[in-house]
Amino acid sequence: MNSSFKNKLINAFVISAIITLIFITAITVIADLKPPLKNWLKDNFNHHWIGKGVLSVILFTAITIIIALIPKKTAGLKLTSALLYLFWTTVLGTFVIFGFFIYEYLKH
Amino acid sequence: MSLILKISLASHVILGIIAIIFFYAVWLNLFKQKLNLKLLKFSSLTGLIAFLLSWLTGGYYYVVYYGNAVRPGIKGGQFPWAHTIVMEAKEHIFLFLPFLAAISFIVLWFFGQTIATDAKLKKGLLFINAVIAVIGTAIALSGIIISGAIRQ
Repeated sequence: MNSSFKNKLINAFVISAIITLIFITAITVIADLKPPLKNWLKDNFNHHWIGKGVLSVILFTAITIIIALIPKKTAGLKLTSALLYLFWTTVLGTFVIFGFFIYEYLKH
Repeated sequence: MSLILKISLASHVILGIIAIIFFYAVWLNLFKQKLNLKLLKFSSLTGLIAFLLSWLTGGYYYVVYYGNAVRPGIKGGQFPWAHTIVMEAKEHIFLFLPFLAAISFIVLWFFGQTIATDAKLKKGLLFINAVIAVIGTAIALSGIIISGAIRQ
């Protein structure tokens, strides 16, 4: 594997992880607020949580492949910056999910 | 509860703790001046595999047993927030961990040699492993809260 493609592939993995974490956060909140989405996940994956997991893995894989195949010399972000963006996405996603379920508990 | 469910639950807990321990090992070893690359690679790979297996075993217990047999008891008990807040947050935030663990593993395996000389990259990787270890610990502690609520 040449060095340029290796850099691009690893950047693709990290950017894909950022998008996947945003997706997990979004689908967690939206599926709880919109019962039709939660029901769709249940109907198609047996359980909404399985659906979220399966879709996350598919999204992670698909976005990694798409970004890795984009004919650019670099994948956009430097690896160091991408890792820091991933860190802050994780922190923010954690607070959003935790805060959302506190809000849901207090609302009912 | 059947034997297979008991094994699944126990495996989920043990594998989760193993994964957390190995990611603490990666995080703390990244602080060293002279990096032990073999140890870092081995720890990230073991942690990743343990998280994936913990996901599968915990998922089996959660989908097959928890929803019907445990959740109603907690929601109708003294501490309904143990499910509505703690379990709901735990099961969804957990989904972050396999992806973060995969990134830690991939960067270490492909850029292991560069990390020793690139302080910024090392810092980025330190942050990722720190967040894995801290969130993993919080999730393990959440499991203790949920178990406590079941007994009430």
